[in-house]
Amino acid sequence: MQSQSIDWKKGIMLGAIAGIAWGWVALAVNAATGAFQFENSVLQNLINFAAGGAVFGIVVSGFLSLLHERLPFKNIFLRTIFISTTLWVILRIGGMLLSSIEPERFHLVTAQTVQGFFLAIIMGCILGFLWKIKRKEA
Amino acid sequence: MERIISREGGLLETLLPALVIVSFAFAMVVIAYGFDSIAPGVHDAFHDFRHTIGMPCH
Ligand SMILES: [Zn+2]
Repeated sequence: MQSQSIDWKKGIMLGAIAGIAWGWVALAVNAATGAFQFENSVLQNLINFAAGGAVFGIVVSGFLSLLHERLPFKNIFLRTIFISTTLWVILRIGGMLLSSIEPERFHLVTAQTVQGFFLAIIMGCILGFLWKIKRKEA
Repeated sequence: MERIISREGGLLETLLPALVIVSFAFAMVVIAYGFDSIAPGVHDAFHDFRHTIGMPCH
């Protein structure tokens, strides 16, 4: 119980906030890169990306609050980026398995993969930033 | 009130965070792969999101 760490409920709150921000960043990034042509309306996507981003953010932040002191890095940004990219890579490997099982349903696109990886790093940065601020306040 | 819970709910206190996070992780997987069989409509609802973050789709 170090004063350095944040309790898990606060961690989840921060994760939700970071995730929503990240969802909208992802929306803007993809709109700029055009890696995928959006099929939904912008308004619809503002909601969907916020919801999806919040879930991802909560998971990353949740793992961070659970593993906090056990991670090999001291720097909060290294920790958040490590967790968010690791989770993304795990999901991506799972996706590879799925697409080898059901190639017709699951398809992988390189441009989207590269973009997704960069977005995972961005998630780590946003979350790391929020944790840094909150830790100072506590 | 809170003090009573934190003192008596030792086991819950340790398990609850893990349970909550595992549930969200499960939701994340369902969203990432669009498992309609688990949550009907999730494939379409998060379709643009899924492609944007580089997860496999059609
Ligand atoms: Zn698709």
